[in-house]
Amino acid sequence: MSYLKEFLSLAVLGVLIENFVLVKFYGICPFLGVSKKTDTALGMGMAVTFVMVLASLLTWLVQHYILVPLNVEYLQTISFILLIAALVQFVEMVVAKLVPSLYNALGIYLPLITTNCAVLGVTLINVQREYSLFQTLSFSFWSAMGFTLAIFLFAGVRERLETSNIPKHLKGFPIALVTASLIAMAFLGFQGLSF
Amino acid sequence: MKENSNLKIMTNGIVTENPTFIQLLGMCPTLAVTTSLVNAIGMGLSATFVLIFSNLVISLLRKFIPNKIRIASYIVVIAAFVSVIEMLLKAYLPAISDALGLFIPLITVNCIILARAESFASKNSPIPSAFDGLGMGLGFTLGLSVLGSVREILGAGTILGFPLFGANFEPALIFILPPGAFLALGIILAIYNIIRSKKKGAAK
Amino acid sequence: MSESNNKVFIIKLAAILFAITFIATLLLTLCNYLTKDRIAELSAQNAEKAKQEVIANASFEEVEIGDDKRAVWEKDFAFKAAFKAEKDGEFAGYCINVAPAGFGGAIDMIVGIDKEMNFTGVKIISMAETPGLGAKAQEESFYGQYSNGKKGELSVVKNNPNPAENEIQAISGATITSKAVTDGANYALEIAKMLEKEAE
Repeated sequence: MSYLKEFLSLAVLGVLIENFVLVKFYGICPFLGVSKKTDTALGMGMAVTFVMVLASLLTWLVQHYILVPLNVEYLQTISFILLIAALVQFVEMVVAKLVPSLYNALGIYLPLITTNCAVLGVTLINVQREYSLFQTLSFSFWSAMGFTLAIFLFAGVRERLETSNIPKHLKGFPIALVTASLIAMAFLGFQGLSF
Repeated sequence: MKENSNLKIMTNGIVTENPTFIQLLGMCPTLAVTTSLVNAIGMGLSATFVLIFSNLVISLLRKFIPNKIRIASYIVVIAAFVSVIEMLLKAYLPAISDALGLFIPLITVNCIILARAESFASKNSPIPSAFDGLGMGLGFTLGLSVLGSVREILGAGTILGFPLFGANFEPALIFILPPGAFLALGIILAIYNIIRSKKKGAAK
Repeated sequence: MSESNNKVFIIKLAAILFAITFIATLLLTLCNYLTKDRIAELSAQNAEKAKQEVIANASFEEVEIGDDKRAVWEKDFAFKAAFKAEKDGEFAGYCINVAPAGFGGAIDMIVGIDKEMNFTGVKIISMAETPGLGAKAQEESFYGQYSNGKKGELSVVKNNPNPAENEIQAISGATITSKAVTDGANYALEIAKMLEKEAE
């Protein structure tokens, strides 16, 4: 029962209060880059979710069974990023084999998951907040869901923007950023949930 | 002549290929740490340090690293320098280290650094690579500083912590909150576009 | 490419990557060796200064806390450490180190409580709140509120020019930070009360 409660409270935290993209600014590059169409956005969200949860699991094990016992916590950044890079390479191969259409749609952004700060970010937050293995897995899952929700909502708005009449100088990135700002304002309201 | 070309490489990073305004790289720290000018400069200079050294080392190693494992090798080199600056900041500038928090280790995944390693350092000799790193770093610092100043002035009514306006000034808090980051950058980019298209028009 | 050649190639790749990683690790070990003492010293200094600021001219001794109790307190009160303050050989109060969660992560702070269980002050050691908003908690206009003879459980109020004895005026636009610091102060009071009970 208490596990369920924890899982749900981390859901509210990860998706709404501390939304990775709109509140904490992790993973902005894919958020702006792969959000032109809703279905690629969703695919990206799914790939990131998979990598984030798996990376959290592996880095938790590395942190608690290698770095802490050997007293070499200062190697955290370097070992985590190596693990993530290897993991992304693996996911890339799997996606290319199993879902070639998604592989083509994600294009350059798939290997770029390595440099998505949401992934390295979540693993470092897990350690910083001294989460247990269960909390680590739940938090990384829900943060990834928060990322997926943000990128999906944003892609929806951008699809509509394509056909609307926008001042010349605002076209492209500027209007996208202004739109993101409005979505972020809506998410600011969720801050109130934290107390 | 030689120095001239290095200078050119450097200004290329600051102006022509500015990572923030033109390439739109490294957006996470750009949006997250620009709540004040001090933080923006701190982040910019830390990234510059990493850029210079990672570019230098990667360029030195460029013939030694096989193509297949180049990305992994670059990431290791970058992560090492990031950890170095992380420790140095903690020891000598704890206030900056606290304010930037997680975004210091996250310099590792700043796309600018990997992009420069891949597109410049791996193809050029060490000295120009270091200059490229310096230029890109300063360009990034410039971008962050512009955004940081705008947000600090509008959102807090101060610059570098000094109050700019009288006590009656009510700052627009939204600019130091997350939505303000998107809004300020969007408007700055639009203004930049206007200036650029005006220049183009004048050239014609 | 024949199979054995392929194997040699893979081993070569692994060896090169290993060499790079190994050198990077050596560099980091060296850097850690050079900076770790200074980092530890710096944080000890900060903590000492903060304790002196909330209870002046006192000497401090850390209170030993059993593992079981520590685990519960860490979970319920974001507890880090407790110190007993003595002035001229007499018990003067407690300094409690707590780290409640703010907007940008944990707020590491010291809360001073005198022997009558009144607040003597709050000092923040480190935090990562938004500059211009939550970071204003480090300004005296905010943390000074905790040293004006405040007592009892504290609560946060907004836009009240004359806050009562147990009320803290929130920083405008940074209610989360204000609440977190106030929570920290309340946690510290709970802990001090429990320590006091045990001492009797």
